Amino acid sequence: MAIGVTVAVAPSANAACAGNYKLYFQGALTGPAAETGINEYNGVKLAIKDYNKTASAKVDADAIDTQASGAQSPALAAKVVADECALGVIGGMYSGETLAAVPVYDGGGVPVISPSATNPALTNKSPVFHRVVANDLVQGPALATIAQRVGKKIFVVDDATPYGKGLAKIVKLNLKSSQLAGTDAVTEGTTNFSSVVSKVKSSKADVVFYGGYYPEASIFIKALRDNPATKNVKFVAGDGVLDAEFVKLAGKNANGAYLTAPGLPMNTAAPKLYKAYKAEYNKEPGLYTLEAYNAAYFFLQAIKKGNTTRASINKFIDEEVVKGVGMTMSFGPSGDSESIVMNEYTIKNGKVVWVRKL
Amino acid sequence: MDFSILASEFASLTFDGIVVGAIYALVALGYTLVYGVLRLINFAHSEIFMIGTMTCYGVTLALGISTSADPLTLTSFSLVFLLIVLTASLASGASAVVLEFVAYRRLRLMRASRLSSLISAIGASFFLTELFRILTESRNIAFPRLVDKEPLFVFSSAYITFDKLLVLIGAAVLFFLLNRVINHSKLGLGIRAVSQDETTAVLMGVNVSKVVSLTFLVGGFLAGAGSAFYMVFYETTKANVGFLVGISAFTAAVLGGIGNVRGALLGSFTLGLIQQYSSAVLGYNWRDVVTFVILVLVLLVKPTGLLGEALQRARV
Repeated sequence: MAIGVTVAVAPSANAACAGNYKLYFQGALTGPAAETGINEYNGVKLAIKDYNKTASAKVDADAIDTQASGAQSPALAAKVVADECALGVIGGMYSGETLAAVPVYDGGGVPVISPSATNPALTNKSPVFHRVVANDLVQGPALATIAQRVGKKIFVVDDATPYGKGLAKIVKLNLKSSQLAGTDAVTEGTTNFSSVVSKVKSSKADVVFYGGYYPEASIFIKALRDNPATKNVKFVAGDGVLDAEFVKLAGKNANGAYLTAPGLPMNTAAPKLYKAYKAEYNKEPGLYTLEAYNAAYFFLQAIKKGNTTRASINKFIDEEVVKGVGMTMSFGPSGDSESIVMNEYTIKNGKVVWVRKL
Repeated sequence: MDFSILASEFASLTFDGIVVGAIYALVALGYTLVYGVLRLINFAHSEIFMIGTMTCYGVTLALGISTSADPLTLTSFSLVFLLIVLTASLASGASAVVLEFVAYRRLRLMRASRLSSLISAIGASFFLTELFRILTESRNIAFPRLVDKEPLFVFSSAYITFDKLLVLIGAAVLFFLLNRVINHSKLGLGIRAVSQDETTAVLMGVNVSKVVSLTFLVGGFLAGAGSAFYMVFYETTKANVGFLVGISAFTAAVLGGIGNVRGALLGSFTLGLIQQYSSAVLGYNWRDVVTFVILVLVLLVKPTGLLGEALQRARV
């Protein structure tokens, strides 16, 4: 592909941009995964709005809508690289689109802080890549522990995406072979889960782990609950499923699901910001809204300290510790966050509820 | 590979395969009817199905049935479902007629090459998918649970639920009606005449344009009814649902022998079962691999499909 070649030269911050810098958000603003993306982008916009109230050099928020697709993200990332005023990217939202786009950002020297991409393959991926959340090497074992806690025989299903398959693999590695009842893999867009349910049923599993995202998870959990033999099977899944949209699509079937996420619940971790957010958008923040806010906050601190080139901002991100809202952020040389946080959530009466820190 | 599941779950896999096959069949018939008359693969037929699913959702919205509501009682379900089937069928049927008028008719009257019609078909398909993608912001749409899905009775490993029985019975009724129309009505006579030899049919006084329009109407009607069964069974849709269902239905039509109504039925049920068995034994992600390997093998041995007419004789 020619993209990497055409963008190899990083434009230095242009004088025309002075006082008009841009931070981009990369994620889905339309498409099946849009809910997560919109919640993150709202966090970014709020951080920038707060910053602009007092700052002399104003910053604009912009976004590239990847629809969470790794097929679309590299071309859109090239647009960011070509934008001389772009100082950094908050994103990508999902692992697949991020894995595809990071080489393009790398070529243009654009610093990236992802609020929610958790695939371990992103560790050490590029000197420009950072993330504020713990990766799936932390989330996977946590999910395996939960699965072992709530049942004896665990059936593992993934959606064949880099995120879902990767997480399922880590979960499997952390189970004893006697605990693994069976496995299956579906594809994104699957609606017919009846053969998977039949396999779960015949495996006599009492727990299902699903590595994937909420559009398919909501159909899967309904299919499980509709079959009398698998009605009471416990449903365990990672942060890709943890979203209010999951509850909306799965209805009351979502109740009692065991979910994890490195993301913190905003209302307890940052109550003041939570109020401000609700006042601004008149809706509940999503999972990773807080992380997106803080990822943007990190960039804004760098700009505030007079870093207005991509290279100097990247250096700032690599070296500094920034106390954000409700979380303190710093990054190791691999790009991963130095503070490891993992949370357990569940769905109760149609609401996402934080259970405990793991 | 896990063959033991075939033994332990044979009844449930088979039952589900037949139900899925019945839905495919209702869509596959539209492909095969149009092909029979026009020797044209109507690639936008899958979007006619999608419009049906969206109409079903629209009807529940208009009736104010929320996705969190409890299932309806049998009486109110019957009324609501009847309304949904009729509305979806009419919407899909009307869309199919409009589609024929906009995308195909002029090309046909101008005696344009079949390639032009094919491109027009693909263009119409993209247009409709993208239109609905924008309208729905490409989100998944949840359809309310209209009927209780507690099993009515258990047969071996299969749980027989009302919605699945409904699909089977509904599809059987529609197949019967279609058979009556094709073999015992004036329209059916026209369809068969045009399908055998268009020029002679014209000489015998058949109004070809009318027959073509009505064929699209019947195909769209069946797809619309199929979409209503699909929605009650799966309870979800999105802008590209037509692609997912359409590719299977089209494959089924080719497997059975495109242009042949019985072939479409046989192909659909065969495909439904193959998909169900292969995804259980090899894993769901192997389903399409197995499906298309079988399709290629069948076409290698018997290029006309299981029951098809000789494609070589088809006018190209």
